[in-house]
Amino acid sequence: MKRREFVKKSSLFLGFAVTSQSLLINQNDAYALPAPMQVLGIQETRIIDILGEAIVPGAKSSGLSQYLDQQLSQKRDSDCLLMIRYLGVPSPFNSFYLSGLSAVDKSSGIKFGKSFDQLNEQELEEFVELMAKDSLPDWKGPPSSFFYFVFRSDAIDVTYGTQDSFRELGIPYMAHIIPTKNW
Amino acid sequence: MSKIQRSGKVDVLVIGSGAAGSVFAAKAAKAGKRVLILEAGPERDLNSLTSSQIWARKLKWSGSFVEERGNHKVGNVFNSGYGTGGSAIHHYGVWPRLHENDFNTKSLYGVGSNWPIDYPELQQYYDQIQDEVGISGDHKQEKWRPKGNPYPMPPLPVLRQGRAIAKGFSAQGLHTAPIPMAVRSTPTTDRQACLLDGWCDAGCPNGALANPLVTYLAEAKNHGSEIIHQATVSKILCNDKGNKVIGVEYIDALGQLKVQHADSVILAAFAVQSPRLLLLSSNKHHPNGLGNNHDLVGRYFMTHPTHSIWGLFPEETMPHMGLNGGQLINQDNYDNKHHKNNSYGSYQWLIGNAVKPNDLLGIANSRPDIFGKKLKPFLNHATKHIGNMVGICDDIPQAENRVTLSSNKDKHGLPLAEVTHNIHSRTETLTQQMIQEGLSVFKSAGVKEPWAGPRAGMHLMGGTKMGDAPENSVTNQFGQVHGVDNLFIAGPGLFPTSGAVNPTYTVHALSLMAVEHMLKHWESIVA
Repeated sequence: MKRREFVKKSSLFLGFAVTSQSLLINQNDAYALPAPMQVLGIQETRIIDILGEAIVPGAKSSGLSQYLDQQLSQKRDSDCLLMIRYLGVPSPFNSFYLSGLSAVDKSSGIKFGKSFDQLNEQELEEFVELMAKDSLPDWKGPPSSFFYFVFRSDAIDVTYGTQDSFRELGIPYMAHIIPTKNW
Repeated sequence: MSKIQRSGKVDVLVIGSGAAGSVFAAKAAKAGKRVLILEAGPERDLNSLTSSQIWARKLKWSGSFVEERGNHKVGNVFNSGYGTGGSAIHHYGVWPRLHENDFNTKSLYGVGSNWPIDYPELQQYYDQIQDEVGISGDHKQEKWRPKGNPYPMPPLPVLRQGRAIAKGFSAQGLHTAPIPMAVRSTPTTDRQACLLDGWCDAGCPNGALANPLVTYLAEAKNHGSEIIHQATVSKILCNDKGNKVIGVEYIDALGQLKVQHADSVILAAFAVQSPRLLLLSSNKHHPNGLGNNHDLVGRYFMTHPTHSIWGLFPEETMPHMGLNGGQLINQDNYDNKHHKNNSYGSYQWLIGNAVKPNDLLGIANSRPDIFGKKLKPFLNHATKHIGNMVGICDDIPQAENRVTLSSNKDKHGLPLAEVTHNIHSRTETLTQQMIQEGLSVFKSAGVKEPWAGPRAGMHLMGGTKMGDAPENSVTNQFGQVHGVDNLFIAGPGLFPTSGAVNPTYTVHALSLMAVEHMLKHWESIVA
């Protein structure tokens, strides 16, 4: 095999270490694997992905769950970039997000009789509307309209607050100092 | 915790490296004083000012949590900075002067209290600061501007958004003028002219916007001032008689408690932390807190009630460009604080603020009700056609609006600050009148369905008000705490009334007046 062919073929495979075992998987499989999260569990990540897409389409692929997990993992308040810092909520912010996500799932069960990740598109839209108006039944968590506002702002940040997203919107970024990372 | 004595007494110890503290430090150091600045936050330089609304959040307050109460919360984190330059590092550079009537509201309107100084006394300091820092503007266009020297630089250009909204003001018979900005429209050897790219909130690394890194903090360092970061002052120390301060205790980056002695202390830790520190500094002569023998420390806390007006214009507005503080100003309703029934106060419009898609003041959050499939079409259109302006109102000072110590404590075991702020009914009426005018202006400018954003608190003022007697104030007109001559308070906490203009320019002018007084009377003050 020539070197160029080797590089081309090998680039389709990535090595991952999972629970001390090495295995070879392709890029699609790798993407489908849950990213290693520090704070968020699988179910919470699933809710973030679904709710994020329902409120701000594109939020999942823009990395909303990774953004939240990374920021909630910061050891010092001064390193946290979440907008919730502005909104009078004491740190650490984990309990705010985790209780809000839990309330989403439970409220879905009460309203629609099924878990949040089972809602169809129409139900999701209705759910978000009710959430934004503090009208979900038996919501137990931060006020749902406030949680909606904070969560929506996070989703906006990752989806519309980066150089790539400015380009997609057709407006110049014009940085003095270009951010080396989106967050 | 054992205390470590830091070697060497300094002449002037400044708590806080923001707008007020840096003026004191610069002038005192230039006069040959040994100056030390203690800054609670981390070190920052111009290279750390990344152009991103996400990264901009690092500049905001992240010291001890501030508990907020009341129906008009003050937004401490959004309004406060943390690190070199304090809040001024992310301020927007909108530098109008207070008007003459702002200094005498008790006499003129029976509201609040008079300042211990009049505008003419402060005018020379406004003028001197203007010359030293540089302000871009057009004094002739500002028909409401109080007396003062012409601006040293021409105004910044008015862009599409500003022009689009100005049509509405003109149609209503209202006047607009370029905002006086502490932003360079012409370059110097060490400061560039503004590029109008709308990243002021993230800090201006090219030096066009007058943040302390390129103005007085730079001057202070050039004259030998030392600055220690991550140094949280926990107590101001008094002599045995209780009539002089002798230094401070502070907790350093490693968590060690240290003592620094000084001949004078300048408390410039902004409107919440300054009264908190006074309350934390009680001693046998000041059992209720330093300077608090008349229960005035923390009281009369103020924030400007503000509303934004938004609208989608037929023409493209390029809203991402310009300055976050805006392009044009209107103060037609400033000089008569009783101009309408049932309300009180002045207000001003800051017109054509540069906005990005995200963040608290961003385009997407102007319509938080839009989500799902409707969001992207909205943003695609709004990022080219939106216009906005911000109305800023007087806040009636009320004794019950105050900073107190909480029963909860921070990581150092010190009580947190608790800020209670409720809006006065006459102020609330004023905000509603202002909103109606704003919506009307936007309709006259061709916007079919303008909308108003929620009320927010902008700027923090009061809490350590100045006055002419210990019975009505915490300090005299120079910020000297009554009965403790070598303790100066500097910053917007001194304001007896808020006015309706952005406070940073006045903070500079007051600080300059005070430091000149301190240096002139140095021997008697520190004796």
